[in-house]
Amino acid sequence: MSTLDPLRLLREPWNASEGNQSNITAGASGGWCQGLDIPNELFLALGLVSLVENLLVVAAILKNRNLHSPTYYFICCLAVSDMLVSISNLAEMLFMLLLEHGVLVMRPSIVRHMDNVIDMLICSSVVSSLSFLGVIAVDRYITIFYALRYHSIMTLQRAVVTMASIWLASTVSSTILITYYQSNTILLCLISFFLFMLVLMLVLYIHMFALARHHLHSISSQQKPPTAHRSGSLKGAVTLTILLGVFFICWGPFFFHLILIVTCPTNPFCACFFSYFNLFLILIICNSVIDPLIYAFRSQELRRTLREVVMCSW
Amino acid sequence: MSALRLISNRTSQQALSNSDYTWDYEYYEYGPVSFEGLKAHKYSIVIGFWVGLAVFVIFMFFVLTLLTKTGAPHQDNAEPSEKRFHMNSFVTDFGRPLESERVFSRQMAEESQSLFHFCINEVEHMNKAKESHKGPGLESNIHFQEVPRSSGMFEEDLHCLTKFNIPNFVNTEQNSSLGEDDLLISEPPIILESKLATQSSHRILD
Repeated sequence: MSTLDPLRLLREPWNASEGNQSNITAGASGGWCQGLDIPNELFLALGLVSLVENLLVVAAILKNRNLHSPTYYFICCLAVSDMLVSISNLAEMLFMLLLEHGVLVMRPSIVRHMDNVIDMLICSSVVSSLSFLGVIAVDRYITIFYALRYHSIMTLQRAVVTMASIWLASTVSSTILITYYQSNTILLCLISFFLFMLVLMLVLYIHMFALARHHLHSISSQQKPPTAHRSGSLKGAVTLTILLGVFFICWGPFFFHLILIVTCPTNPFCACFFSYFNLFLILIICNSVIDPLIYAFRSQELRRTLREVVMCSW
Repeated sequence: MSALRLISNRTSQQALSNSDYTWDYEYYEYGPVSFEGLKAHKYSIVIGFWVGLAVFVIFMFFVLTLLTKTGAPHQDNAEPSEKRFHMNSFVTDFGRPLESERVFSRQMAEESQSLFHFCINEVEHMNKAKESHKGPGLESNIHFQEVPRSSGMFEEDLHCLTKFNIPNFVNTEQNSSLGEDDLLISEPPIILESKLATQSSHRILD
């Protein structure tokens, strides 16, 4: 029977065809790529920071009635899915530590079951996090290009339906992924989903940026001293680079890993890339740390509410 | 994530042998992977990927920055004529924006209010100049069906709005107080739409 679980299969895809457990000593394979040994404390620290940040975002949005609008509901859902990423990671850490130190003793079948549950949680939070990033971009696009009709396009009911369907879809797709993880089709679906989100965000944000640049250019051409033009456009360029750059850097490596699994699972060069799997997971957790900073805390209203929440809790 | 490998090791060990619970950090067989006779450096894909990603992000930043520097000044010369053409084709009630202003007033800064009036006045003056081409009721009612909601309207609206600095403030424009009823009853003219667009774009990108 195969005891390979999904995430180990992602880390060592060359075992996929064999599915056996034959072992060799460390010396024979030590010459190849060592990979990066991520200390558990880093996982723990990043997970805790992400959890606290996203909890604060959710608390601030729930507390302030001005933030009860579809835009902020989507940001709240992004914070919830980032929170799930960090929670599932922390749960896994806890699980591992307890098992390692013998505090928790469980039958192998239960261990496997818990393993699958955690993998499912991780996968669904990853999918929903990506989806909400795309939905936020679409929402901003509608805000800018359909400004007056925004409230009739993005009604509260449609927003709730969108959120519910994304959560449902991510749960279902993660269940399917964990159940059929050995199939290449599933990986291709994930990769195409990521590419779709990537292209969507690129197109929408660059179009929005082009409009903002056009505004600024028109303003500056009217004014005698072109003061606000350069700095305003530069700020827009920096914001956009940060938004898209964080997306690429945090999500890109993991999905490139998946692409390499599909295309060259047994190639030694690709195998070298696979050895950095832990780093790619750290980057996804970093994304859930950075997302509140670049999405939620950009809003002054939310920052003000956050200050109130933090002061009240002290 | 290394936990999962650890757990799987233990699972497999317990499944295969019902001996005492031991933990071995096992290395897996690199059976199908052959490392002999490789010409390129083993880290080539890893380094290539990270360098490519960094170059891409920096390239994207420079492209965006260059986009901000370049622009076509001649476009603005063509806009006034286009603006007059579009002005002929839409009718707005300039008493109404005040009511709409009340709706949006809590988000508008003082300077934008005064400059908005200036913008309205300017459009009003232009409309008066074209009054001969239109029937009565030009400035008292909103003729929604005559308002062409085309993307071309952006240009002439922008031209009016560009006469003042869009205040870079962060606000909760789409808060729950702006219900659908407000927009259905007193549907603001196109000029407010592009103003909202300007505000939104600056709110998001600054």
